[in-house]
Amino acid sequence: MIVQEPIQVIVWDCLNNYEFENAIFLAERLYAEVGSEEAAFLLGTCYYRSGRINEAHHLLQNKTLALPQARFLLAKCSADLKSYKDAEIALGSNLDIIASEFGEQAPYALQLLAKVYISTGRRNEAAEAHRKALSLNPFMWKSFAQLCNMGEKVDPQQVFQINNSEFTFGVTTLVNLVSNSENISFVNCNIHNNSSMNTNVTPNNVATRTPMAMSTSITPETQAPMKRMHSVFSGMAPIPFSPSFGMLTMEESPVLYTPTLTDSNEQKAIPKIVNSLRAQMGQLKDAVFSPAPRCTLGPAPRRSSRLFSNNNSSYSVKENNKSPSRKFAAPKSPSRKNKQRTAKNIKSNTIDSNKSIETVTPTIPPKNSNGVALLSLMKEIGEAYKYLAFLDCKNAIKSFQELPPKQLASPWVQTMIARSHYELAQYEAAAKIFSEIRKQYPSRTEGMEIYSTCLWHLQREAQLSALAQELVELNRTNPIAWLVAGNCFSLHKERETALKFFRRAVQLNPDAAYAHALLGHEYAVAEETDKALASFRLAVSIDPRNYVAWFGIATVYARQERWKASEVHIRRALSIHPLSGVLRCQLGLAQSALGKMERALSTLEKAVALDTENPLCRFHRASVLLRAGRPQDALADLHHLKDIAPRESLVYYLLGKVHNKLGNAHLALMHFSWATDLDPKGTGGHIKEGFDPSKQEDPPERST
Amino acid sequence: MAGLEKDPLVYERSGTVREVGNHAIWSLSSCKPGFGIDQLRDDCMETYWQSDGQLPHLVNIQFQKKTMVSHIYIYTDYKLDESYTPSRISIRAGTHFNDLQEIEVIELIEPSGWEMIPIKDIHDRPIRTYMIQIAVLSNHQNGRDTHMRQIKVHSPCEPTSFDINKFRNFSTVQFQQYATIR
Repeated sequence: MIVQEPIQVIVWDCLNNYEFENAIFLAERLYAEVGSEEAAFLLGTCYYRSGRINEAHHLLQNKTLALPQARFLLAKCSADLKSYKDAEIALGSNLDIIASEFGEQAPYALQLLAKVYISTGRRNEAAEAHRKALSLNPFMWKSFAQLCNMGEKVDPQQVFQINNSEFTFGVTTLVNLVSNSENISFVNCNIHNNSSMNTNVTPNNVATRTPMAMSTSITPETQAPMKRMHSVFSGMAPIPFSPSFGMLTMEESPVLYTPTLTDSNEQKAIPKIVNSLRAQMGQLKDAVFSPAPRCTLGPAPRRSSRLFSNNNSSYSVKENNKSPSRKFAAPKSPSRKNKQRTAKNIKSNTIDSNKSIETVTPTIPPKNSNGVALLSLMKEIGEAYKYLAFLDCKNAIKSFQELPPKQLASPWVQTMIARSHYELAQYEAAAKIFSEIRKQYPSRTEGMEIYSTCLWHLQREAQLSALAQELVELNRTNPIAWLVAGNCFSLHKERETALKFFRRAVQLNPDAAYAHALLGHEYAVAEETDKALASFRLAVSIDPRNYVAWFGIATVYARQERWKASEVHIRRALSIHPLSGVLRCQLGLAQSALGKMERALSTLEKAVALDTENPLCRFHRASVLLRAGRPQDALADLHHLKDIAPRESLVYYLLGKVHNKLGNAHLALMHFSWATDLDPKGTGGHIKEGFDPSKQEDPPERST
Repeated sequence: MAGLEKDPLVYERSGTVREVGNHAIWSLSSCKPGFGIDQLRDDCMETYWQSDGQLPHLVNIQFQKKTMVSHIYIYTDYKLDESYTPSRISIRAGTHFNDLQEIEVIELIEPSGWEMIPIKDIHDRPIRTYMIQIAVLSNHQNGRDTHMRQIKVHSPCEPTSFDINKFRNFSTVQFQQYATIR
């Protein structure tokens, strides 16, 4: 008869070291022997982590599951396999019941449930579930982002705070952390393995499990593991400071545990460490920061400890504490930021100079300092992200740029800023930022489809081809690579190939609304209107806030000259993105086509005022003025355009038509000839028609 | 003549025409197994269609809706195909098999590369048709069967007559980048 516990421990050990085949083998043996729900859950986890989702699903689906973790895993598998009904059944439908049943996993369960709701079209329930998840665990950024993307109002100031009454990030996690750190010490520090280790290691990521293991692990039988733990910690010590997230730094170091080298061999340090760890609830492990320069014990196992631990302070030693002041989470204020920045500078200087770790007596901080620091960072980022999601791009850029420099330099923030520029149609600026990101992080593909669209707008064929080639080479199964390739061929006007690649991207990831929108646009250009409309409608059903798709439908109708329908859809797009000059311009055009000249002119006025860099607003205003029979007024706009864009042939063409209307035949001819000079092929030959009055298509505009 | 001006891809890339062969149903009067429509439409000059019957050999292109056709391009190579190279080709158009009218006949003399056949009606405009038939009437050196390596059909992308819609293609990037949102 196999005792489950040690085997489970072994399997978790394999999992923690990413050795999935080994883990699966052992877990299968355990499951075959015992067949219990716990064993099933363990085996399911092994399958899931190694990507064998179908098997995990099959394993768990026909059982009545009591363990909440097992139910959660089953729900996750079902959701991944798109059988949303099963997922929903596994999770349940009452949010409060879920919150109580799943305990610490509740936020994740709720997030998963929200995903299921969205996929089945119940957006309101999804929003509720996300909100609940956030209230339980303020670090669920994804829920916040989804809420913003859905257009729900969320207040980052409210959301990102530790609401201790409901915060279930518990002591058990902490304790597991401690025990896991022992594990780390074994596994990662290359310290000589003690055979007694196995009994003390517990799976860290199952938060609620085996609390009993905790107690045993805290009091190890032998000195050696403890020493190792110390050494591990002190090995970690080299991280010179805890992540301040741009806030007050290091001075405080309330925490912890500062196992210093001097302490390392003292038994008494252990309870202090444990206490300090216990006291710090919900602190986040700091990101992998500087490597341990002074780690004399081998490479600091930063990565694995980060995986387990929620408590970063435990690994950071505040050696440069000038004063034992605490890190407080003060409300956001600019002056504080400045102070923090200077404080951080001072700190980093002192770190360099001061090589020895000071012995700081561990104290139990009253607050969870690093967690709170992270939360205030998240508040800032949340504000900025909210601006972006609601397409208030200027404010978004401003807010993002106010982030602390380290965060600002991170690729995600840069991508968001570039996206904001893209939404404002500032393609140059966006492309510049994206190319920087590509240089520094060449294997990062998130956001690259937006980069390719910017290059498409700017008609930079060489860069776009290079980008497409690099991304496809990098990973042929990445839908983003195929979107980029599609944009590349679309720019080259090879419609069939572009369509092929866009279809491929959609096949790889049918849930990406933008991919459908791009496919739709390509169909529209290739004049396959039915397929275009179908793609656009699909995009909108996935994400009703995707204004690119709404605009696409509008352009299809415009080409078919169904101006009323086109106007309706442009308005829809505008309601999502009210500050867009391009959209407003198109609205003006639609209105003028419907004959509502006054309305059109006022819309175009607004467009011109809104988007100063977009010359088309003025251009179309001039053309509408001409149509409305006010050629003289059109002249002012056109002269302005001539100044800023002297090589645009259509400006001269329009000037020619205006002069024709005004009766200045010679000026008209002069402008027409300039237009043809600049662009011999013209755009479909209508410039030639402009030359020859007998072929003018709009008789009312013919000069007599 | 330089093959460049006759290369259909150049025109496709300019955005003024589209290749519409994919919107049509193709059929042949005869073919040798492995040398049929796929080889005729695969964008590869190494593969070809080889007929296997009596002259005239026919390629039938049927569209689902009346399509405007401006040019037909045929790729043949005398150096490779010698007596299989067509020498007289007749282009017919109409609504169905029993309703075809010859609109164009061309003579080829030792062609090597793309041959462009403009399709115009009596008013010199591209025709609108449901069906096109390309008939090979005779081959070089009086060969019986024929090889054709590639065929492309171009349809013009016409700007509509409405004034505003004309302004869809600007000549500078500065303007064009704001013309649409993707």
